Amino acid sequence: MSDLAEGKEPLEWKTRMKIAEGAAKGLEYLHSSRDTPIIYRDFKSSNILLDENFNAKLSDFGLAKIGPKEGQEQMTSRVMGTFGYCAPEYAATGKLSTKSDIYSFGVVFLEIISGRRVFDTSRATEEQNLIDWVCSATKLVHASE
Amino acid sequence: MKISCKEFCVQTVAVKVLNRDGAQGTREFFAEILMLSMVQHPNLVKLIGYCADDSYRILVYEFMANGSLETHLLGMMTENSGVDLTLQKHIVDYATLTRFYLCQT
Repeated sequence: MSDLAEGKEPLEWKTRMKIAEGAAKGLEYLHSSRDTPIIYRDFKSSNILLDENFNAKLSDFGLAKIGPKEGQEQMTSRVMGTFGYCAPEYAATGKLSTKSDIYSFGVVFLEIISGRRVFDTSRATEEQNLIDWVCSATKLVHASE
Repeated sequence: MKISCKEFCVQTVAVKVLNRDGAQGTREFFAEILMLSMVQHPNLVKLIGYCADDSYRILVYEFMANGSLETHLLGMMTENSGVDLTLQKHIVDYATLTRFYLCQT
């Protein structure tokens, strides 16, 4: 099911959840430690680094942005980020908020639990886009209920 | 790579050398320094130092032994290497290190 190389052991569930929790804490700190939040804008699995104990640390802040100002929920910005992880409403309108990072976190979380990358052209057409694949799988579950 | 800061600590670091071409890279380089100097948290990578001398654009981070999450998801880590190949690629020699302005942290 996963994109793991043959013979390679996947990360244990406990380790995966530890990584997800650490990355979430880093993101929460950026969003809430100051009066004006920092929007990371590039939350993706290649930017989450792991120390010797698999503690997650966010890296690469080149696209990070300060804002929006207090009392405002969103700001307008030139669309930057990585295709696949970028929130659709931000990609379409340029309206940026901390929620854009939360969408990206959701994508990474799906990668963590599925072991699949967000885009994988080596798969069957209907499974190449992880988000679409999960959405269709979810619909199937609901339909069978 | 191990470098000495004063006589007391020896620390393994990761070094990122930026492509010297393009305004975009320079903007992101200074944004990275600005952001990382404003924040401090166990779940954010620590910036140890940087170099912005002439056209050199170099960032020095704490070393992360298990690489990136992506390499684990995709099984790209080499057996027992424990080193993210993208970081390994950026490690430079001591001659370049002499150009660093190491922040005292």
